[in-house]
Amino acid sequence: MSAEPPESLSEREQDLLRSYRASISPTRERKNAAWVAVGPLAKATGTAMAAGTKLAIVSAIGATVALGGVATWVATRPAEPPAVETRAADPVPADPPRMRGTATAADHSPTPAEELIAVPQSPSVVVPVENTAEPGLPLRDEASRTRSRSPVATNPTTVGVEAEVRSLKLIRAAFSSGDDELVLSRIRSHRATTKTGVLAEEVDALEVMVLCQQPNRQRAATRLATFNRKYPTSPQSPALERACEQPSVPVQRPSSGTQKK
Amino acid sequence: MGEYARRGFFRRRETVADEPKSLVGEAFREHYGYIFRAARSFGVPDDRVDDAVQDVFIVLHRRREDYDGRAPLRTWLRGIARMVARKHLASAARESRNRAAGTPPANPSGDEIEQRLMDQDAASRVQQFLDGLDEEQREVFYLVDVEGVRPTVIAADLGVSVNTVYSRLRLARAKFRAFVAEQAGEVS
Repeated sequence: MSAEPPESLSEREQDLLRSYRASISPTRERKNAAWVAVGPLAKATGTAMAAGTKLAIVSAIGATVALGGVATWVATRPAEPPAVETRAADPVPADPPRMRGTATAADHSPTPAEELIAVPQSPSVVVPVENTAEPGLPLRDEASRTRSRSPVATNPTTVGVEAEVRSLKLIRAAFSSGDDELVLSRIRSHRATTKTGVLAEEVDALEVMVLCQQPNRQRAATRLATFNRKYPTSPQSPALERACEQPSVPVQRPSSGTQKK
Repeated sequence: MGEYARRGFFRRRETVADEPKSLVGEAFREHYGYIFRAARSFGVPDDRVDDAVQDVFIVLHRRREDYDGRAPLRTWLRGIARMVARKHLASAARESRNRAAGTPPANPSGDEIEQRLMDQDAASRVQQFLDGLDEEQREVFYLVDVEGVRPTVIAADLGVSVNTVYSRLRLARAKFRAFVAEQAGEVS
């Protein structure tokens, strides 16, 4: 028995569905913002590298991707926050987007789940979503599932990276809101609770950025010098130095208002 | 030695280029928009969808070793997105209940209700239609008529015959036509 395709929709009905598709498609800004959080996970999934190499690469990429937006934005000092998003069809660029100033749209008010993660009790407290089996998912088999899930879930490296990404998001959200004390408080929590430190460079850079806007110039200069000594090849250094050289110019923080929240 | 070379910029780029491809990276490159739309189509509100999409990638990251490549990655991601969407919807419903308990109930006037109905755009009407479909028909209708996936591909992904896909699609389209006609009747 041959399959009979159903009758096609009318032009009007198809127009309605096209409008719907456009309305639920992400903008490029949202995709860029998502990459800030997902990028470090993507970089942490390589399996052929030694842990040390992997951490170094995650750190390098994290520095470029996660804080690149802040650095670029400080360097270029935009006159106003990125434009409010407009709806558009899914752009689907060929490559993961590079961070630009608009990528800071990832900042948002933390959800309660994120608040919990900001000060995790242990590296295992990471994801607000249960890792429950989903009917219909093409899993290998029960034995291999048990075998493979256990090391992934308890791997301190991968779990720690996820926690750090979330913690960094909270710090950046505080930075965007302009609450310097909250930024510094979250940075202290971050350092006290994260184990792997793969995003330490981004966190340190944010700290320098905030301190340079505060009255205690000596403290800021000391931290900047420490940063430069610790990360002599950091691409963030020029932007940080500029920010600290002109503390009277208020830092324009990436607005979280570019992302609908 | 130039400034960039002195800072190790080129060395860093070489390191990044050497990195092996990752499942999460591939999923993001190829399917981010698809996941985003899937989450929205499952009813995740706009102000939560970014968190939901991020959760999909976190789950993918944690369960990447479970993926054996037998089914298309897109299908697997949709399954994760459905699970994540349920959790976000439940969370949103809890928050909504909490808000309702703490604030007096809104008492819109007849004019306000009418205005709200008039403000419904095409997107929300289609979402309303999708929400009213049963799961099987909604999945086929959404994948074919919104995402443009071929019925033969869907049949393979779902493990059903093409006839079954056509049957579900036929029923869903009939309902959609009736829905659109009804909406047009209300407007005119």
